[in-house]
Amino acid sequence: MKKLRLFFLAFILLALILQTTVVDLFRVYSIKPDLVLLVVIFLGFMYGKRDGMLAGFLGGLFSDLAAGSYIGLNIMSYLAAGYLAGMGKNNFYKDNVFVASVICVIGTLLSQLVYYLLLLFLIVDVPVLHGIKIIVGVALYNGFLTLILYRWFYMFFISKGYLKDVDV
Amino acid sequence: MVSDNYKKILIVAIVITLAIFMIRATHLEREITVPEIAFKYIFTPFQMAVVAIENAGKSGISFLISLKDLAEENKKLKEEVRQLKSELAKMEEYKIQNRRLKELLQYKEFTIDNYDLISAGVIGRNPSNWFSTITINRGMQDGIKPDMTVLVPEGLVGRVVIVHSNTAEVLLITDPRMGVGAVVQQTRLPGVVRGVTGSCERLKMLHLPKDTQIKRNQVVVTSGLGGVYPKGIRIGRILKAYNDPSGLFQIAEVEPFVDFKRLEYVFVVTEVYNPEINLLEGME
Repeated sequence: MKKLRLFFLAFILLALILQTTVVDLFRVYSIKPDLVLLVVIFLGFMYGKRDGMLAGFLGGLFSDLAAGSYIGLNIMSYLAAGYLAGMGKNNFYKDNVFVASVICVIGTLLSQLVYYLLLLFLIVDVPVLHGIKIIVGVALYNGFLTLILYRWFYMFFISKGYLKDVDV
Repeated sequence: MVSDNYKKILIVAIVITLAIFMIRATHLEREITVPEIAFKYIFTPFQMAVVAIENAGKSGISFLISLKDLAEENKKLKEEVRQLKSELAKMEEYKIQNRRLKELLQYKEFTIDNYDLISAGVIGRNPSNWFSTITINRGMQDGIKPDMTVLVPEGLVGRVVIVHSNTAEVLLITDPRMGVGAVVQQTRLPGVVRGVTGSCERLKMLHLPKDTQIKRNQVVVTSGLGGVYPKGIRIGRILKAYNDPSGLFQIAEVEPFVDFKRLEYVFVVTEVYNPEINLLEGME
């Protein structure tokens, strides 16, 4: 189990390194995907609410530390996404990329909405239309990336023997 | 069962309250904490390694592209050199004339000599879509301090907000938390340039007087007001202007001169020798 948590950590950190370096090159209409959130949602969907929240907390904490301000913003938004994705664990087929993609879109929408609401609370000026553009844009981008990445991610954990209880 | 639910709600409420308190307490302009220093210390080398690979990849790709058109480019360049040589002689003449006229007008020209600059590489970017900050590979040990101006030859990039021993966080002008005192170069209309959330290609210039004409392609430069940024650094060009909701002012949409998506190297202004330099006429 400890080894599994180490894989969690490794994937989150790898996603964060890519997120803070090369991901900016792949902006579409100024929107970039959120790779850390993607990993959090994948882990939540595969391992349930508890692990989803753990991944959300770690991913959020490291993202906040990398951003250098408002520590807690990403923790809260990723926690919500990890919890929501975890709710899908026992209700949907985990080996279906389209299901994973829909879960990812919904999880990202929730996460970014929480982020937006917290920003309003902090009195950071974000016009509503810009807020919607980011929330929907990131959700669609993440949903699209899920179609490409989820299968590989899922098979990795199967191959390591950490998803034995799943119907493949 | 009911008390269990209450317990859960209570825990969630406490967590949210604590998180909000922490978020508010950790705004940009504050003393950095030990965990943040430790995280940066461990995390930065990995970012540097990825950025080095990214830059090497970019150079490799552009080299391969350039190979394809090499012969044609060589021919073009030779032709250009011939043209430029003849223009150079003319320029020398103009230069002497220009210097003489400037002496007559006591005009102070913008040159890079007026600043002490440190070059820095961009090693990280803000992970979220909501804010715009970058991490540079220069810090306290290189003499970097908060509020120093960061620029590139194309224009203003932002200002330093957090300084670590070997790295620093720079708040970009595209961040919604940023406000830069600015003027329209041609008309001297003052205003404040602000970042637009989720956009690295647009800025807004606020508080422009309503009864004035603002034209497309007019250039916006720093005004020097506020004392953070030196006067006259280019920011962007105006795309359009419209009335703000209150009806008292105009808002101009500004396209920044800097390509923030492909920012690799920047300059940090460590010293301004003559803060009163008026660059407004110097940067046509």
